[in-house]
Amino acid sequence: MFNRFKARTLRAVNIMSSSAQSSVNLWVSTYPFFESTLLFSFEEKLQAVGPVPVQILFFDPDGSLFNEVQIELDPTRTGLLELEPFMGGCKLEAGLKHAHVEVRSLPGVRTTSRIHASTGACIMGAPCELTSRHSAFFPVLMSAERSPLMVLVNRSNIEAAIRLRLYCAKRMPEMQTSVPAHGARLVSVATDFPEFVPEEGARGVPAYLRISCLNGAECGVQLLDLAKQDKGQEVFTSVS
Amino acid sequence: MSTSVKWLGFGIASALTRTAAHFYPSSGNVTAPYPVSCRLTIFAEGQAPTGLTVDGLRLSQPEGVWVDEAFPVLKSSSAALFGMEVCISCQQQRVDLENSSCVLEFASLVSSVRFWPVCTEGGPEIVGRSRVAPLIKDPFHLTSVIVINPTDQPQQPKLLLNGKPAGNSEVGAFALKEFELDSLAASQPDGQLAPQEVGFGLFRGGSLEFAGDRTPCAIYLVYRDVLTKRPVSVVSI
Repeated sequence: MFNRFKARTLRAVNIMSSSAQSSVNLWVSTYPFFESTLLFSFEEKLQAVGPVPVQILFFDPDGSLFNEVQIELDPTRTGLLELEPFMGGCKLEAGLKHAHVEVRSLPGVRTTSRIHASTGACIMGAPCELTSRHSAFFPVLMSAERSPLMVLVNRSNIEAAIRLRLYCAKRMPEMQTSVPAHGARLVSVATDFPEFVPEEGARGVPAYLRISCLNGAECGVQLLDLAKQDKGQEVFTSVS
Repeated sequence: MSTSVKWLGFGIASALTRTAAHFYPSSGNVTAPYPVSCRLTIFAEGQAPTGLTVDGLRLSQPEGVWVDEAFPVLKSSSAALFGMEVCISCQQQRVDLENSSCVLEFASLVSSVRFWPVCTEGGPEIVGRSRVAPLIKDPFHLTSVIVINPTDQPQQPKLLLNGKPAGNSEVGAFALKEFELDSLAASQPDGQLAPQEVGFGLFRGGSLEFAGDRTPCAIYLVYRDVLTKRPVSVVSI
């Protein structure tokens, strides 16, 4: 795995420390249900630059930096980085080894997260940004066969106060949670709003989740929807 | 300040998959439930654009529509894919809808595929918006590209794959077209994407870029399950 990437160079460090960089904050998980891979695609203009430096910071769910990786990628082909080897130091939270990663690179690089398991794979869209003016909304299906999880990623230095409001039929219950600075949290919609989950075999009820940040933290949110299938397997999807 | 916001996406009409449009009319700090209307327009190759207006929506209230219930013609249509424009607007001049959002969903018995369509009018200016995404062929995903043209003139957006022109991407007026990965990769050395051996098998990937000046077209990468050919993720560039 590591041999495919060149070691960090002085040139790379200079580029990364300049102001001409872009960053994206993503959620990844490597145990026990998923594997995560980062995919890097490049605009044509970067082919003139040569090897493109990428810096990846790994924060555990409580926001502690537990790993940092610097690589150089060839912009003439799609870059791929399997994350399992870098996640050894990540603690488990909610039964999952999951983390917030901050990927810094040059403008013109798009970093995409993909999660996969034996039952399939999906592109994990970048978390929808929450600001004081902008709240996120996600359609979900409340059903015994579905397990919608809200993935919260905090990229700021302060703890984020988050409000989740469920719009189901004519009711609008809400709950509040917090995400540590630089950390990540998972919220199970079925666990937090159990009275809205129909009994097994009953038809699913369409609902909406509205998520807003109550303080000045810079937070992102994404939906990970698990659907149970006949043989006990689960298909998972995200919003991309 | 935007009193209307427009998105351009696509839907699937088939016996197994239904398409839903979900929208959240939002105005940031204004929370009064002012009335909001939604205009849905669908089009496909050889079919004139058809539209209707959905009334009864309210500001700050999420809502959704089954597209095949709004347009029963889709149940008998031969076109599996159709283009779709979603426009929400508010009569109140002081209501800024810039922070509104839209999610399109392909729902089947197995699962749901949801994605954010491209905002073509009235949305927030996204600085440094990415115009590139990975085209993949590996044990999990097979990617195709959908180009949507909502105008009355043929369009040919410039697509680059790993910096090289990715074939002829011309799409007729009010139409959408799906391009398979193999036809896009024909311009690559050896006529296909370079392989990489990774932990989960053989991976072939390339960077697909929507280059040149912006056209009115929207471009989506559709990631399909290799075994079932079912879409599992949709990403816009």
